[in-house]
Amino acid sequence: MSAVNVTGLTVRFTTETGVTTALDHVELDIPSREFVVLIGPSGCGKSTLLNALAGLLSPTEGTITSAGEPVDGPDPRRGVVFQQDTTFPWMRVADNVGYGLRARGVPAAERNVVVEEYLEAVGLSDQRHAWPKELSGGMRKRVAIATAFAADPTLLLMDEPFGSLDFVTRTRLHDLLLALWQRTGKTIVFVTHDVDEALALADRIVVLSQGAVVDDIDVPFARPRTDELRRDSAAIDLRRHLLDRLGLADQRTDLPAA
Amino acid sequence: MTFGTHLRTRHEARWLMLAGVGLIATWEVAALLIAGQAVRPNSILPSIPHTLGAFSELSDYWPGGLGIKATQDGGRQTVVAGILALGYGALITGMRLVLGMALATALGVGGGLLIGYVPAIRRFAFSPLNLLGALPLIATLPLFAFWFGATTQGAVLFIGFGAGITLLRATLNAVENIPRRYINNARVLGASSWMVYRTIIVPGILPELRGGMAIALTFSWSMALAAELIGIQDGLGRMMLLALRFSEVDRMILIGAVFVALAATTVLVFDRLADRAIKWEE
Repeated sequence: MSAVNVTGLTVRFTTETGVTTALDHVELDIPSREFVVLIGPSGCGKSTLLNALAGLLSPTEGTITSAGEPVDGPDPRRGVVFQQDTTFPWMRVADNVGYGLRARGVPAAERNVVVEEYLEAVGLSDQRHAWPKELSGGMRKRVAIATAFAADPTLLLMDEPFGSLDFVTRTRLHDLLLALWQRTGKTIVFVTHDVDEALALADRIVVLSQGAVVDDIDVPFARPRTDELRRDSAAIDLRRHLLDRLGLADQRTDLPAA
Repeated sequence: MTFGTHLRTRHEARWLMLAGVGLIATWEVAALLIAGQAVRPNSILPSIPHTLGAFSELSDYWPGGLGIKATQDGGRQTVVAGILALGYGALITGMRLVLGMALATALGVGGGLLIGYVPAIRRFAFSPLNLLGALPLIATLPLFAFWFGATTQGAVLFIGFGAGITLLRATLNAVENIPRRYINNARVLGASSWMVYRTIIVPGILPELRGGMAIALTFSWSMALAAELIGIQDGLGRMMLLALRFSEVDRMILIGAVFVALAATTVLVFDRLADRAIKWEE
C-alpha cells in the first residue's frame, strides 16, 4: 500500500490581489519507506503540498490518502518537522521529545525509555534537562527530529528543516537523519530548494514548478553517499538536470564573452 | 520582557542613588526658598528635618490597642505610635489590594483563558473590551461607592474590576499572539484541543501576561488609595485624606513615601517571582 497517494490535488488561496493557485492538479504516489525529496524554487508550492499532506490545510480539489485513509486533519501518524524552530521554549528538552507520546497517553515510565533512546540517537542525552534557550540552532533541530521520531509516525514530513543551518551542521544532520530513517524504516517526504541536499538524501526527487509536478526522478546512487558523489559523472549529469529544471543550469557559461 | 525596579547592574543602582540624592537636594533647596517667602511654608513644602519630625504626629491615626492609647483618648504622640499607625494603615490598604488583585486575577486571567478558549468568542470580545480599556477606569469609582458604600467590599470590587479589565485584555492579547507554529507542532504531534490549551497556550502567554500583570499591580495601588480617599474610615488613603484636610503636608509626604515604598516593593517581589516562573524565556 502507498504511504501517500495524491490525486488531482489543487489548492487555491484568496489573497488581496485575487485568487492564487498554489497547487494545480498534482498527482503523486509514494510507496512505504521511500525517501522522497520535493524540490523547486521559492513559491512553487512545495510547502503547500507538505502542509496539505500534514492535514494542516484543506485541498480546494482532489484527494489525499495516507496508508489508504483520507487525510482530513493533522494526525500523529504523519509527523512534521517544520522549517521554523518549533521546540516549545517552556519545556525542557526531554519533555519536548516526549510530547507526542504524552499526547497519546503513553505512561511516563514507558515514555522515558523512548525519550532516552532518541535523545541518545541525536546525541543530546546530556542536555535532557536543558531549556531550549540553552541550545544552539542545530541542537534545537536535533530536538525537533528526536521529537518527531519519538512520536513514531509512519510518515515524516520535513519542510526545509535545515535551511537556516550552516554547512557543517547541515551535513551532520543529514547523516543523523539518514541513520534514523534506515533504522526506523519510515517514509520521509523532505522539502528543499537545495539540489545538493536532495542528491545526498533522496531515493527519488520530485520537481515542482508553478504548482505542478514537472519531473519525477529516481536517484540510483548507492548509500552511504560520500563526497565522492560530487565527482561521479551520473551525479554531475543529474545535478545539472535538476539545476536546469530550477532554471539555474549553466548560468555562468551563458554569460556573454567580455 | 522585563519590568519594575529590578536592579540588574551596579550601573543602574548608581543612577538610582544619584537620582535620589538629586531629589532630596532639590526638595531641601525648594523648601528653603519657600521658607523665605511664604507665610505658612510648612503647608506648602516643609523641609526634610521638619518632615521627619512629623513622624510622631502620625500617632493621631492610631486607633488604640497593643497597650498604646489613641491620642484622642489621652495617648501621647510618640514615634512608636506613629510607626504603629503607619503599619496599621499599610496593612489595611495592603489587604484590600491583595483581595482586589486576587479577584482581578480570577476575573481577568481566569475569564480571559475561558473566553480565549473559543477563537470566535475571543475575537468578538476584543471590541467591547478595547472600548472599556479606553475609558478612565478610575472614573468608575463613584459608581462603586454608590453601589457598595464606602466599604472594604466596595474597594475590593473596584480594584477587582479595574485591574481585572486590564488583565482580561492582556490575557486575550497574549492568547491571540501565541506563535501559530507551536500550536501546529502540538497538533501534528497528536495533542487534543484541551492539551494544546493546557500545555501550549497557558505557559506560552506568561511572558506577555507578565507586563499586563505588573501594570495591573501598580494600577491597583492607585485604585486602593483612591477608594480610601473617598470615604472609607481606615487605611493609608484615609490617613492621607485627614492630613490633606488640615494641610499637614509633612504627614502627607511621610504617608506618601510609605505608599510608594510598598508599591515599589510589591512590583519588585512580583518581578522576582515572574523571573522564576518564566526562567525558560529567552
